[in-house]
Amino acid sequence: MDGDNIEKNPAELIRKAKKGDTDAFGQLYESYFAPIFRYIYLKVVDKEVAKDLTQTVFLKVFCSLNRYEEKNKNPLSYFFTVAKNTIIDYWKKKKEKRLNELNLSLNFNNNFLEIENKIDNEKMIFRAIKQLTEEQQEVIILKFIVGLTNKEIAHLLEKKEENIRQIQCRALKNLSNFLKN
Amino acid sequence: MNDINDENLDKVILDVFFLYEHGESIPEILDLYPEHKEELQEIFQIIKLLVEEKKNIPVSKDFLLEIISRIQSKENFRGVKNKSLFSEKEAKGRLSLINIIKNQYTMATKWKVIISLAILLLVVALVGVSQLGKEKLSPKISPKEEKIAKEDSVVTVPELPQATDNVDDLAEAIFSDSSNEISQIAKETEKNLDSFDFNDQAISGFGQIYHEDEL
Repeated sequence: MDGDNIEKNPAELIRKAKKGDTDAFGQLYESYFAPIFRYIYLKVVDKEVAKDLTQTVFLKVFCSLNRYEEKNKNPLSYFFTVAKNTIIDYWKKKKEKRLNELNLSLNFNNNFLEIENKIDNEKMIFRAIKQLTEEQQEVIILKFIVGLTNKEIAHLLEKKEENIRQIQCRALKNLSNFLKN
Repeated sequence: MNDINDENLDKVILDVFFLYEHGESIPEILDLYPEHKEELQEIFQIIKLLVEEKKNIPVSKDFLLEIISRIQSKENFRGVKNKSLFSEKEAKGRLSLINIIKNQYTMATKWKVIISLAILLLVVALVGVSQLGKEKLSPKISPKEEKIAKEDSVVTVPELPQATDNVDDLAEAIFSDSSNEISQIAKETEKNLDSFDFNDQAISGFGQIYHEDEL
Protein backbone atom coordinates (compact mmCIF):
# COMPACT_ATOMS: atom_id res chain seq x y z
CA MET A 1 0.00 0.00 0.00
CA ASP A 2 1.31 3.45 -0.76
CA GLY A 3 0.78 6.20 1.79
CA ASP A 4 -0.87 3.87 4.22
CA ASN A 5 2.11 1.65 4.85
CA ILE A 6 2.04 -0.34 8.01
CA GLU A 7 5.19 0.24 10.03
CA LYS A 8 4.84 -2.95 11.99
CA ASN A 9 4.29 -6.32 10.44
CA PRO A 10 0.48 -6.71 10.10
CA ALA A 11 0.69 -10.44 10.74
CA GLU A 12 2.46 -9.72 14.01
CA LEU A 13 -0.13 -7.07 14.89
CA ILE A 14 -3.01 -9.43 14.22
CA ARG A 15 -1.31 -12.13 16.30
CA LYS A 16 -1.06 -9.67 19.19
CA ALA A 17 -4.64 -8.52 18.65
CA LYS A 18 -5.76 -12.16 18.84
CA LYS A 19 -4.14 -12.38 22.27
CA GLY A 20 -6.23 -9.41 23.41
CA ASP A 21 -3.75 -6.61 22.68
CA THR A 22 -6.14 -3.78 21.82
CA ASP A 23 -3.26 -1.42 20.95
CA ALA A 24 -2.21 -3.81 18.21
CA PHE A 25 -5.76 -3.85 16.89
CA GLY A 26 -5.79 -0.05 17.05
CA GLN A 27 -2.69 0.05 14.87
CA LEU A 28 -4.28 -2.32 12.37
CA TYR A 29 -7.41 -0.19 12.41
CA GLU A 30 -5.45 2.96 11.69
CA SER A 31 -3.48 1.32 8.89
CA TYR A 32 -6.37 -0.35 7.11
CA PHE A 33 -9.02 2.31 7.72
CA ALA A 34 -8.23 4.47 4.68
CA PRO A 35 -7.95 1.68 2.08
CA ILE A 36 -11.06 -0.07 3.39
CA PHE A 37 -13.02 3.17 3.51
CA ARG A 38 -12.01 4.11 -0.07
CA TYR A 39 -12.90 0.66 -1.32
CA ILE A 40 -16.33 0.74 0.33
CA TYR A 41 -16.95 4.34 -0.72
CA LEU A 42 -16.41 3.47 -4.37
CA LYS A 43 -18.81 0.55 -4.04
CA VAL A 44 -21.63 2.48 -2.36
CA VAL A 45 -20.79 6.12 -3.25
CA ASP A 46 -22.30 7.45 -0.04
CA LYS A 47 -20.11 8.96 2.63
CA GLU A 48 -22.38 8.09 5.59
CA VAL A 49 -23.05 4.54 4.40
CA ALA A 50 -19.33 4.08 3.74
CA LYS A 51 -18.59 5.20 7.30
CA ASP A 52 -21.16 2.79 8.74
CA LEU A 53 -19.96 -0.11 6.67
CA THR A 54 -16.30 0.58 7.47
CA GLN A 55 -17.22 0.55 11.13
CA THR A 56 -19.10 -2.73 10.66
CA VAL A 57 -16.08 -4.25 8.91
CA PHE A 58 -13.77 -3.44 11.81
CA LEU A 59 -16.26 -4.70 14.37
CA LYS A 60 -16.67 -7.93 12.43
CA VAL A 61 -12.92 -8.39 12.18
CA PHE A 62 -12.46 -7.63 15.87
CA CYS A 63 -15.11 -10.13 16.90
CA SER A 64 -13.91 -12.85 14.56
CA LEU A 65 -10.21 -12.57 15.41
CA ASN A 66 -10.26 -15.88 17.24
CA ARG A 67 -11.35 -17.61 14.06
CA TYR A 68 -8.68 -15.93 11.95
CA GLU A 69 -5.98 -18.29 10.76
CA GLU A 70 -2.82 -16.78 9.38
CA LYS A 71 -2.00 -19.74 7.13
CA ASN A 72 -5.25 -19.27 5.18
CA LYS A 73 -5.18 -15.51 4.59
CA ASN A 74 -2.91 -12.57 5.20
CA PRO A 75 -4.40 -9.73 7.29
CA LEU A 76 -4.99 -7.48 4.27
CA SER A 77 -6.94 -10.20 2.45
CA TYR A 78 -8.85 -10.90 5.61
CA PHE A 79 -9.96 -7.27 6.02
CA PHE A 80 -10.90 -6.95 2.34
CA THR A 81 -12.84 -10.22 2.33
CA VAL A 82 -14.85 -8.99 5.31
CA ALA A 83 -15.35 -5.64 3.55
CA LYS A 84 -16.54 -7.35 0.36
CA ASN A 85 -19.02 -9.52 2.27
CA THR A 86 -20.26 -6.51 4.23
CA ILE A 87 -20.96 -4.64 0.98
CA ILE A 88 -22.80 -7.65 -0.46
CA ASP A 89 -24.90 -7.90 2.73
CA TYR A 90 -25.66 -4.19 2.54
CA TRP A 91 -26.99 -4.41 -1.02
CA LYS A 92 -28.97 -7.55 -0.24
CA LYS A 93 -30.65 -5.89 2.74
CA LYS A 94 -31.29 -2.76 0.77
CA LYS A 95 -33.00 -4.78 -1.96
CA GLU A 96 -35.12 -6.69 0.57
CA LYS A 97 -36.11 -3.49 2.33
CA ARG A 98 -37.21 -1.93 -0.92
CA LEU A 99 -39.23 -4.95 -1.92
CA ASN A 100 -40.94 -5.02 1.44
CA GLU A 101 -41.67 -1.33 1.65
CA LEU A 102 -42.43 -0.29 -1.88
CA ASN A 103 -42.91 -3.57 -3.70
CA LEU A 104 -41.01 -2.12 -6.60
CA SER A 105 -39.91 -5.15 -8.53
CA LEU A 106 -38.86 -2.89 -11.40
CA ASN A 107 -35.99 -1.53 -9.39
CA PHE A 108 -34.83 -4.95 -8.25
CA ASN A 109 -31.43 -4.82 -9.85
CA ASN A 110 -30.81 -1.13 -10.11
CA ASN A 111 -28.12 -0.57 -7.51
CA PHE A 112 -25.65 0.67 -10.02
CA LEU A 113 -28.21 2.88 -11.72
CA GLU A 114 -28.79 4.51 -8.36
CA ILE A 115 -25.08 5.04 -7.92
CA GLU A 116 -24.87 6.48 -11.40
CA ASN A 117 -27.58 9.01 -10.62
CA LYS A 118 -25.87 9.96 -7.40
CA ILE A 119 -22.60 10.59 -9.11
CA ASP A 120 -24.17 12.06 -12.22
CA ASN A 121 -22.77 15.42 -11.43
CA GLU A 122 -19.57 14.05 -10.04
CA LYS A 123 -16.48 12.91 -11.87
CA MET A 124 -16.81 11.13 -15.17
CA ILE A 125 -14.16 8.70 -14.09
CA PHE A 126 -16.53 7.09 -11.55
CA ARG A 127 -19.11 6.58 -14.26
CA ALA A 128 -16.44 5.10 -16.48
CA ILE A 129 -15.42 2.66 -13.76
CA LYS A 130 -19.02 1.50 -13.42
CA GLN A 131 -19.02 0.50 -17.10
CA LEU A 132 -16.27 -2.04 -16.49
CA THR A 133 -16.83 -5.70 -15.68
CA GLU A 134 -16.98 -6.58 -11.97
CA GLU A 135 -13.50 -8.07 -12.14
CA GLN A 136 -12.02 -5.06 -13.93
CA GLN A 137 -13.69 -2.65 -11.48
CA GLU A 138 -12.21 -4.60 -8.59
CA VAL A 139 -8.69 -4.50 -10.01
CA ILE A 140 -8.84 -0.80 -10.95
CA ILE A 141 -10.26 0.23 -7.57
CA LEU A 142 -7.77 -1.87 -5.62
CA LYS A 143 -4.84 -0.73 -7.72
CA PHE A 144 -5.41 2.98 -8.22
CA ILE A 145 -7.94 4.04 -5.58
CA VAL A 146 -7.01 1.79 -2.67
CA GLY A 147 -3.36 1.72 -3.66
CA LEU A 148 -2.49 -1.96 -3.39
CA THR A 149 0.35 -3.59 -5.31
CA ASN A 150 -0.29 -6.18 -8.04
CA LYS A 151 1.01 -8.85 -5.69
CA GLU A 152 -1.45 -7.83 -2.98
CA ILE A 153 -4.34 -7.72 -5.47
CA ALA A 154 -3.36 -11.13 -6.83
CA HIS A 155 -3.40 -12.56 -3.33
CA LEU A 156 -6.68 -10.88 -2.54
CA LEU A 157 -8.48 -12.04 -5.68
CA GLU A 158 -6.72 -15.41 -5.66
CA LYS A 159 -5.28 -14.88 -9.11
CA LYS A 160 -1.81 -14.82 -10.61
CA GLU A 161 0.01 -11.50 -10.79
CA GLU A 162 0.23 -11.89 -14.57
CA ASN A 163 -3.59 -12.18 -14.76
CA ILE A 164 -3.97 -9.05 -12.67
CA ARG A 165 -1.72 -7.11 -15.06
CA GLN A 166 -3.79 -8.29 -18.03
CA ILE A 167 -7.09 -7.39 -16.37
CA GLN A 168 -5.65 -4.00 -15.45
CA CYS A 169 -4.48 -3.44 -19.00
CA ARG A 170 -7.89 -4.30 -20.50
CA ALA A 171 -9.67 -2.19 -17.91
CA LEU A 172 -7.55 0.86 -18.70
CA LYS A 173 -8.19 0.40 -22.42
CA ASN A 174 -11.94 0.19 -21.77
CA LEU A 175 -11.83 3.28 -19.58
CA SER A 176 -9.97 5.11 -22.30
CA ASN A 177 -12.57 4.10 -24.89
CA PHE A 178 -15.46 5.09 -22.63
CA LEU A 179 -14.00 8.49 -21.87
CA LYS A 180 -13.26 9.13 -25.57
CA ASN A 181 -16.89 8.50 -26.42
CA MET B 1 -5.97 -6.67 -38.35
CA ASN B 2 -7.70 -4.73 -35.59
CA ASP B 3 -7.29 -7.71 -33.23
CA ILE B 4 -3.60 -7.91 -34.01
CA ASN B 5 -3.23 -4.21 -33.23
CA ASP B 6 -5.17 -4.73 -30.00
CA GLU B 7 -2.93 -7.63 -29.03
CA ASN B 8 0.14 -5.53 -29.77
CA LEU B 9 -1.21 -2.67 -27.71
CA ASP B 10 -2.00 -5.03 -24.83
CA LYS B 11 1.57 -6.25 -24.89
CA VAL B 12 2.90 -2.71 -25.03
CA ILE B 13 0.71 -1.62 -22.12
CA LEU B 14 1.93 -4.59 -20.07
CA ASP B 15 5.55 -3.66 -20.80
CA VAL B 16 4.84 -0.02 -20.06
CA PHE B 17 3.35 -0.94 -16.68
CA PHE B 18 6.34 -3.03 -15.85
CA LEU B 19 8.65 -0.10 -16.60
CA TYR B 20 6.38 2.38 -14.78
CA GLU B 21 6.26 0.22 -11.65
CA HIS B 22 10.04 -0.06 -11.73
CA GLY B 23 10.51 3.68 -11.61
CA GLU B 24 10.82 4.73 -15.28
CA SER B 25 9.45 8.23 -15.95
CA ILE B 26 6.46 8.72 -18.26
CA PRO B 27 8.32 10.77 -20.93
CA GLU B 28 11.06 8.12 -21.06
CA ILE B 29 8.46 5.37 -21.51
CA LEU B 30 6.63 7.31 -24.23
CA ASP B 31 9.90 7.78 -26.08
CA LEU B 32 10.41 4.03 -26.07
CA TYR B 33 7.09 3.42 -27.89
CA PRO B 34 6.59 6.25 -30.38
CA GLU B 35 4.13 4.18 -32.47
CA HIS B 36 1.72 3.93 -29.48
CA LYS B 37 2.48 7.31 -27.99
CA GLU B 38 -1.09 8.60 -28.33
CA GLU B 39 -2.77 5.54 -26.75
CA LEU B 40 -0.20 5.43 -23.96
CA GLN B 41 -0.70 9.13 -23.23
CA GLU B 42 -4.44 8.46 -22.79
CA ILE B 43 -3.75 5.56 -20.47
CA PHE B 44 -1.44 7.67 -18.33
CA GLN B 45 -4.05 10.42 -18.30
CA ILE B 46 -6.61 7.95 -16.89
CA ILE B 47 -4.16 6.75 -14.24
CA LYS B 48 -3.58 10.37 -13.26
CA LEU B 49 -7.35 10.94 -12.98
CA LEU B 50 -7.78 7.82 -10.83
CA VAL B 51 -4.96 8.78 -8.49
CA GLU B 52 -6.40 12.30 -8.18
CA GLU B 53 -9.82 10.83 -7.36
CA LYS B 54 -8.26 8.72 -4.68
CA LYS B 55 -7.11 11.92 -3.01
CA ASN B 56 -10.61 13.38 -3.33
CA ILE B 57 -12.27 10.54 -1.44
CA PRO B 58 -12.91 12.06 1.98
CA VAL B 59 -10.78 9.97 4.29
CA SER B 60 -9.78 11.86 7.38
CA LYS B 61 -8.72 11.23 10.94
CA ASP B 62 -12.06 12.73 12.01
CA PHE B 63 -13.89 9.82 10.36
CA LEU B 64 -11.66 7.37 12.13
CA LEU B 65 -12.22 9.07 15.48
CA GLU B 66 -15.96 9.25 14.82
CA ILE B 67 -16.13 5.55 14.10
CA ILE B 68 -14.06 4.71 17.19
CA SER B 69 -16.32 6.88 19.36
CA ARG B 70 -19.38 5.15 17.87
CA ILE B 71 -17.88 1.80 18.75
CA GLN B 72 -17.27 2.96 22.30
CA SER B 73 -20.71 4.45 22.86
CA LYS B 74 -23.86 2.38 23.15
CA GLU B 75 -26.00 5.48 22.93
CA ASN B 76 -24.64 6.34 19.52
CA PHE B 77 -25.47 2.87 18.33
CA ARG B 78 -29.04 3.48 19.32
CA GLY B 79 -28.74 6.62 17.23
CA VAL B 80 -27.67 4.55 14.26
CA LYS B 81 -30.69 2.34 14.82
CA ASN B 82 -32.98 5.37 14.84
CA LYS B 83 -31.54 6.58 11.56
CA SER B 84 -33.16 3.44 10.11
CA LEU B 85 -30.08 2.80 8.06
CA PHE B 86 -29.96 -0.58 9.73
CA SER B 87 -32.77 -2.82 10.84
CA GLU B 88 -33.59 -3.29 14.53
CA LYS B 89 -32.16 -6.77 14.48
CA GLU B 90 -28.95 -5.47 12.98
CA ALA B 91 -28.69 -2.69 15.54
CA LYS B 92 -29.18 -5.23 18.34
CA GLY B 93 -26.46 -7.30 16.76
CA ARG B 94 -24.22 -4.29 16.79
CA LEU B 95 -24.93 -3.69 20.47
CA SER B 96 -24.04 -7.26 21.24
CA LEU B 97 -20.82 -6.76 19.29
CA ILE B 98 -20.10 -3.78 21.49
CA ASN B 99 -20.65 -5.96 24.55
CA ILE B 100 -18.23 -8.50 23.16
CA ILE B 101 -15.66 -5.78 22.65
CA LYS B 102 -16.27 -4.42 26.14
CA ASN B 103 -15.82 -7.91 27.55
CA GLN B 104 -12.60 -8.22 25.63
CA TYR B 105 -11.41 -4.92 27.10
CA THR B 106 -12.34 -5.92 30.67
CA MET B 107 -10.82 -9.34 30.26
CA ALA B 108 -7.47 -8.07 31.59
CA THR B 109 -9.06 -6.85 34.85
CA LYS B 110 -10.91 -10.15 35.28
CA TRP B 111 -7.71 -12.07 34.84
CA LYS B 112 -5.98 -9.86 37.37
CA VAL B 113 -8.62 -10.79 39.99
CA ILE B 114 -8.52 -14.48 39.04
CA ILE B 115 -4.74 -14.64 39.18
CA SER B 116 -4.55 -12.88 42.57
CA LEU B 117 -7.20 -15.26 43.97
CA ALA B 118 -5.29 -18.23 42.62
CA ILE B 119 -2.06 -17.01 44.25
CA LEU B 120 -3.91 -16.55 47.56
CA LEU B 121 -5.31 -20.08 47.38
CA LEU B 122 -1.87 -21.44 46.56
CA VAL B 123 -0.34 -19.71 49.59
CA VAL B 124 -3.11 -21.09 51.86
CA ALA B 125 -2.58 -24.57 50.44
CA LEU B 126 1.20 -24.35 50.98
CA VAL B 127 0.73 -23.23 54.60
CA GLY B 128 -1.69 -26.11 55.18
CA VAL B 129 0.72 -28.65 53.70
CA SER B 130 3.62 -27.35 55.82
CA GLN B 131 1.49 -27.61 58.99
CA LEU B 132 0.56 -31.20 58.19
CA GLY B 133 4.23 -32.00 57.63
CA LYS B 134 5.15 -30.62 61.05
CA GLU B 135 2.49 -32.73 62.76
CA LYS B 136 3.76 -35.86 61.04
CA LEU B 137 7.36 -35.15 62.04
CA SER B 138 6.64 -34.66 65.78
CA PRO B 139 6.59 -38.08 67.62
CA LYS B 140 3.35 -39.31 69.12
CA ILE B 141 3.37 -39.81 72.91
CA SER B 142 1.76 -43.01 74.09
CA PRO B 143 -0.61 -42.84 77.12
CA LYS B 144 1.84 -44.89 79.16
CA GLU B 145 4.66 -42.43 78.46
CA GLU B 146 2.34 -39.55 79.22
CA LYS B 147 1.44 -41.08 82.61
CA ILE B 148 5.11 -41.52 83.48
CA ALA B 149 5.85 -37.96 82.48
CA LYS B 150 3.05 -36.74 84.73
CA GLU B 151 4.28 -38.79 87.68
CA ASP B 152 7.80 -37.48 87.12
CA SER B 153 6.62 -33.96 87.16
CA VAL B 154 5.12 -34.40 90.65
CA VAL B 155 7.86 -33.56 93.15
CA THR B 156 7.34 -35.07 96.57
CA VAL B 157 8.50 -32.72 99.21
CA PRO B 158 9.48 -34.60 102.37
CA GLU B 159 7.89 -33.42 105.54
CA LEU B 160 10.36 -31.66 107.72
CA PRO B 161 10.42 -32.57 111.46
CA GLN B 162 9.51 -29.91 113.90
CA ALA B 163 12.47 -27.93 115.15
CA THR B 164 13.59 -28.96 118.66
CA ASP B 165 16.68 -28.39 120.77
CA ASN B 166 17.26 -32.15 121.15
CA VAL B 167 20.29 -33.72 119.30
CA ASP B 168 18.64 -37.13 119.13
CA ASP B 169 15.69 -35.66 117.26
CA LEU B 170 18.09 -34.08 114.76
CA ALA B 171 19.93 -37.39 114.21
CA GLU B 172 16.62 -39.21 113.74
CA ALA B 173 15.48 -36.60 111.22
CA ILE B 174 18.69 -36.95 109.19
CA PHE B 175 18.36 -40.74 109.14
CA SER B 176 14.71 -40.64 108.18
CA ASP B 177 15.46 -38.15 105.40
CA SER B 178 18.20 -40.37 103.97
CA SER B 179 15.95 -43.44 104.20
CA ASN B 180 13.27 -41.45 102.32
CA GLU B 181 15.77 -40.61 99.60
CA ILE B 182 16.84 -44.26 99.32
CA SER B 183 13.23 -45.42 99.08
CA GLN B 184 12.52 -42.76 96.38
CA ILE B 185 15.54 -43.86 94.35
CA ALA B 186 14.40 -47.45 94.67
CA LYS B 187 10.92 -46.46 93.47
CA GLU B 188 12.36 -44.58 90.46
CA THR B 189 14.56 -47.50 89.50
CA GLU B 190 11.53 -49.79 89.66
CA LYS B 191 9.56 -47.40 87.43
CA ASN B 192 12.36 -47.23 84.87
CA LEU B 193 12.59 -50.99 84.82
CA ASP B 194 8.85 -51.14 84.23
CA SER B 195 9.08 -48.83 81.20
CA PHE B 196 11.49 -51.21 79.46
CA ASP B 197 9.93 -54.00 77.46
CA PHE B 198 12.25 -56.94 77.48
CA ASN B 199 10.36 -58.61 74.71
CA ASP B 200 11.51 -55.87 72.39
CA GLN B 201 14.09 -57.34 69.99
CA ALA B 202 15.89 -54.00 69.70
CA ILE B 203 16.60 -53.92 73.38
CA SER B 204 16.96 -57.57 74.26
CA GLY B 205 19.28 -58.65 71.47
CA PHE B 206 20.15 -55.21 69.96
CA GLY B 207 19.10 -56.66 66.65
CA GLN B 208 22.15 -58.87 66.38
CA ILE B 209 22.55 -62.63 66.19
CA TYR B 210 25.55 -64.22 67.76
CA HIS B 211 26.85 -67.65 67.00
CA GLU B 212 27.95 -69.73 69.87
CA ASP B 213 31.30 -70.40 68.16
CA GLU B 214 32.10 -66.71 68.10
CA LEU B 215 31.74 -66.57 71.86
